[in-house]
Amino acid sequence: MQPKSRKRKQRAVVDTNVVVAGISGFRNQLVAGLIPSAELLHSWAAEEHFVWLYSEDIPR
Amino acid sequence: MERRALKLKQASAVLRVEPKELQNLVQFGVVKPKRVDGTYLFDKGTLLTAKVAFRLKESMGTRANVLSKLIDVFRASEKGLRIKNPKYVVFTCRLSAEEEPIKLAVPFRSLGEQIDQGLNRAELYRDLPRGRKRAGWKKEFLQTLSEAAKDIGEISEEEIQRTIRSYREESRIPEITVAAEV
Repeated sequence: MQPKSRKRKQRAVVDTNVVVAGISGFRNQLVAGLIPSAELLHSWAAEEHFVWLYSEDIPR
Repeated sequence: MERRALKLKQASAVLRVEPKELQNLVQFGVVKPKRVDGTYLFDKGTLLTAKVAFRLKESMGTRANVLSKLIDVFRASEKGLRIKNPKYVVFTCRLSAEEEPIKLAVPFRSLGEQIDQGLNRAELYRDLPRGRKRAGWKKEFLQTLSEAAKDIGEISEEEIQRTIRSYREESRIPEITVAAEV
């Protein structure tokens, strides 16, 4: 029997401004295409399709 | 408030560190919480000790064996220090007999204030299963985001970016000074 290949979830770094903008989009009903950051959070809640990577501030 | 005891997860949230980091300090004997029925319980004194230890570790990269010695000395005078509540506590360390000691000042009062603030919010850090493993997690997560959105208020994406950028610029400024002391 072939061993099952464990598919590793994508790992993503999301900048703070995307998270804050996404949260601010939760004030009103979600409208598709209006606030992409809010959609990202919504879809992540529905389906854990990536793993958040937490990091300290990334120097620019 | 004084007698309140928190479990490891709650205590680490109050201290703003990962539970694993706090567990490491306990395992190295730097922090000595009470143990009841196999569960570590952190009272305010233990939290303050841990906060001082983390400050020394993070800012100076102090090794666990040195940290243990520093914290042992701190623990011995911790009650008296809490009564006096000085702005700073100064560790004087002579690492060898031939050398003059070095001094390390830790902002004791502000660390205590941070603990008080964290304890006021401790109820928010309930000791529950993490994330999606918890029943009703999704509803709770989306509801929390809606509440946070109301708190943020009307704010444009440009304002968000500007605020974050200025915060990062401010917090990146290193503040290291040197002064003569007789």
